[in-house]
Amino acid sequence: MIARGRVLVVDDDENHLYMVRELLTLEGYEVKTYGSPFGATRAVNEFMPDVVLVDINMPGLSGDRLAPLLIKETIARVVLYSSNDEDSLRLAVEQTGAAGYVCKGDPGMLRFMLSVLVGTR
Amino acid sequence: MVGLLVNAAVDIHHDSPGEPSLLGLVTETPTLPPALTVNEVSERWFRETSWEALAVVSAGIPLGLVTRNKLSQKLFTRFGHALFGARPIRELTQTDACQISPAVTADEALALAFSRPEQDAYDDLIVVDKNGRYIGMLSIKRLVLHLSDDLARVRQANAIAEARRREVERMSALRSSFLAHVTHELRSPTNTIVGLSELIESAHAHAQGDRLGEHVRVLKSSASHLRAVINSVLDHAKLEAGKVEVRVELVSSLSLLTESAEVARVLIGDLPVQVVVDAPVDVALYTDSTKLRQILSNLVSNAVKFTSKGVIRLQLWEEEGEVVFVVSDSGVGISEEEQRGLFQAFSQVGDVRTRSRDGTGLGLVISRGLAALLGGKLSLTSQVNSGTTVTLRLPLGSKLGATKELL
Repeated sequence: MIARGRVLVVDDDENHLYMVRELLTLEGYEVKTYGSPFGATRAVNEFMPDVVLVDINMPGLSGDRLAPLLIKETIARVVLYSSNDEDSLRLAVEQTGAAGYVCKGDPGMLRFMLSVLVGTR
Repeated sequence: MVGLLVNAAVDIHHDSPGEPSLLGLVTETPTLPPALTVNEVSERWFRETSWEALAVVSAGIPLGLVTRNKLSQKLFTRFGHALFGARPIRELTQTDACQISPAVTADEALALAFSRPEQDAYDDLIVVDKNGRYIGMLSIKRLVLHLSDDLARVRQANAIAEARRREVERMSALRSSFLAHVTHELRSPTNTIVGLSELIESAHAHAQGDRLGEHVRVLKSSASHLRAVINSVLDHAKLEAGKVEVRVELVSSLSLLTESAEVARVLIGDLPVQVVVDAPVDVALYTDSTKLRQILSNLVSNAVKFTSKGVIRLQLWEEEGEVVFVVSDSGVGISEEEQRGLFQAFSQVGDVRTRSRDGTGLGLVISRGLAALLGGKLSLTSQVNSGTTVTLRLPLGSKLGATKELL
């Protein structure tokens, strides 16, 4: 089966990485996970995903600081993916220039965002 | 309600410190009869050096003012004494001198004084009652000093109010940050659980039984994490609200310490960290064993969390009617700056976006709260890169004494 697209997930929560990887693999995406904000740029450039899902609350370097770096250094579409309030996510999208945001715990929103972004490439 | 508000406003106005009676500042200096000669006046004035100005008063009604400055000027210029010495003081009186009622405010009095020409601005004011009769003199110097005192008090009050306002703002910001943090900590595992449930449903529907075991394992881990977060938040809230009950019983401190050491060993797993129990003798104490266990387990799990190699030492001894528990590690340590906010639930949270994902960070706050509840004390010393030592002191208590004291 040909994958629908490639997705890299950057998050420090192992359980969450497992869940997203399983969920998106079932959806037909080729998924890789990365457990730290540090080295994420390299991971993106190695895997060359269509979309990077970036968690916001991470130790050392928050996702809203990582996102602008990824946007500058890679060609992947960056999506913020967090359990924070939706208002603060919307604001973070404006501030970082990310392609969008997805609330964790909303698989429908995740599917929709990915189909839109991968479909437009 | 409206009436009440109006009354309150009137009361505030009435009590306002900005409007003291001027009477306290008025000096009842003697007055000069208009017929007194200039020479007599100047002699009197040389004897009494504190008067800057005197009123010339006839039958209780002030005619005007004589000031020391202006009188001296007249007398000591050429032929002054010869020209004016024998004249009545009435002729050298400033009849346009300002008169005020004691009912005006200090601010108004000063404004009136300074509205005069520059050379007259510091002349004393004559204070008269409502019938125009002389009461006394109001020195502009005293008035200015009084007002600057007031100003200082107002400034001080403003500074206090400003400091309070900042503190309230700080607390409010900390509360918001705390709430954002707790919200995130509760949502994260919940969201993972929701996603995993969907995966399990899908695996079940598509008969992919081989994935179920791993899904359920991660689900359990997320659920335990969520439970731990909820417990911490609830414990903290209960302690803050003073709703934690204490059940006192006879406790063997050594068995609790040994138990904590076991917990530490399980948490350490394969890491090269040695757990050492150093307790020469068991100490029995009357306390709440559940709370004490919770404190020790918090301290031990902190020690494990921040120590990747070396030793975690658990010590115990009795000292001056107290049991002393010490949990020390050879871990990363805590900087002085971080130590300052360590025991405050709100300030310790810090930037929610960059905190490491190890629970709510409430462990030490809760432990200290529990220690206080048991009549004890929790303290911490630490040095970056050489480790942290936490000391818990609890009273030995007695069956009755402890119950009375603690319940």
